[in-house]
Amino acid sequence: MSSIDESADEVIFPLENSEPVFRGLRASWYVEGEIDPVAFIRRPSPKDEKGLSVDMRCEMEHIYSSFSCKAIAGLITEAVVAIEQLNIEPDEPQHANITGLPYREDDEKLAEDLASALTDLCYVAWEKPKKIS
Amino acid sequence: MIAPAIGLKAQMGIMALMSVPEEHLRKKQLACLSQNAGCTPPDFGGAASFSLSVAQKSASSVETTHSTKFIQRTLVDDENSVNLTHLMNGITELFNGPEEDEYGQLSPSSEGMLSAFVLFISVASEHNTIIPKGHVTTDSGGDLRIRWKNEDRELRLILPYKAPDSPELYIRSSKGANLIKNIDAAQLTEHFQWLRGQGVLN
Repeated sequence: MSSIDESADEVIFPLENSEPVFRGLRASWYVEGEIDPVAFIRRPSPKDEKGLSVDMRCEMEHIYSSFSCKAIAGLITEAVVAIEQLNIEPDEPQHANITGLPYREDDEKLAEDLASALTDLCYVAWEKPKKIS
Repeated sequence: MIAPAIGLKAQMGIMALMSVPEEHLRKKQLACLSQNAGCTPPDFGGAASFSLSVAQKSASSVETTHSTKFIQRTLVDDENSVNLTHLMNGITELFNGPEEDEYGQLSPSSEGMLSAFVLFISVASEHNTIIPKGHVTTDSGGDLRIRWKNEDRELRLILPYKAPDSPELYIRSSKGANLIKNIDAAQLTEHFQWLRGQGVLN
């Protein structure tokens, strides 16, 4: 289950099972209404040290104004932590990390398997409006 | 039908370019070669022509010139041309686009790009196989990724950003998943047939 980062000055409450977390998607990660599993692959070490970065408890605008994303994927906490070895650990009031995903360089197959599993679970929480020609 | 294989010298040209040690020099050389070849990727009938022109310049081969023209001519109207052009344009657009974004590395390396071109051209020409329409992207580390889907069957080709790492193929269906390292054109061909429901994997 979710845990609290005790080192933070601010108290961060654990995620409720029903709460969603969000992942901004690059343009090429969301094509024709379909989310590419690559969205759930960690950046090579030493980046993404704590896990896969996700936003939480925020408006969609907070995410798409910070990242040049084409869409935002949503994941329900309960569904993520139901996957063996995965957890969601908040570390800031509006940020958490999905832990348990291996770096690709450590286990390519498992990284792809888990990215597939998260892709199957996620939904499109926000999509950039299409330009009207 | 698809043209015969591109000449060995053409492939050697691509390999020669891949062996240039510095990434920025390679990019410069690619840009220079494309200018000399008089083609401006990704507009000229797809990046296939671009890569072949690069190979052609590198190999300085008359034989390659003939192969290139033949491939360009024979690929124009068939399904492979459309799909190959779509894939290679997607790769070239990423290669020529911004280096990084908020997520990390955005553009693939020239090694990744050329590995893809060599594989695709080999599948199309040497193995006479139609390359399915796929989706091109990069991960946050710059690994080039091409994904194909047909109902519950899925293939992901991963071409690493760093040169010593070799291409991988992730295979997924309702029956399970597998990952093959050091994927070659023959194996990729076999998996394209599987994707279409035409073959059984060992």
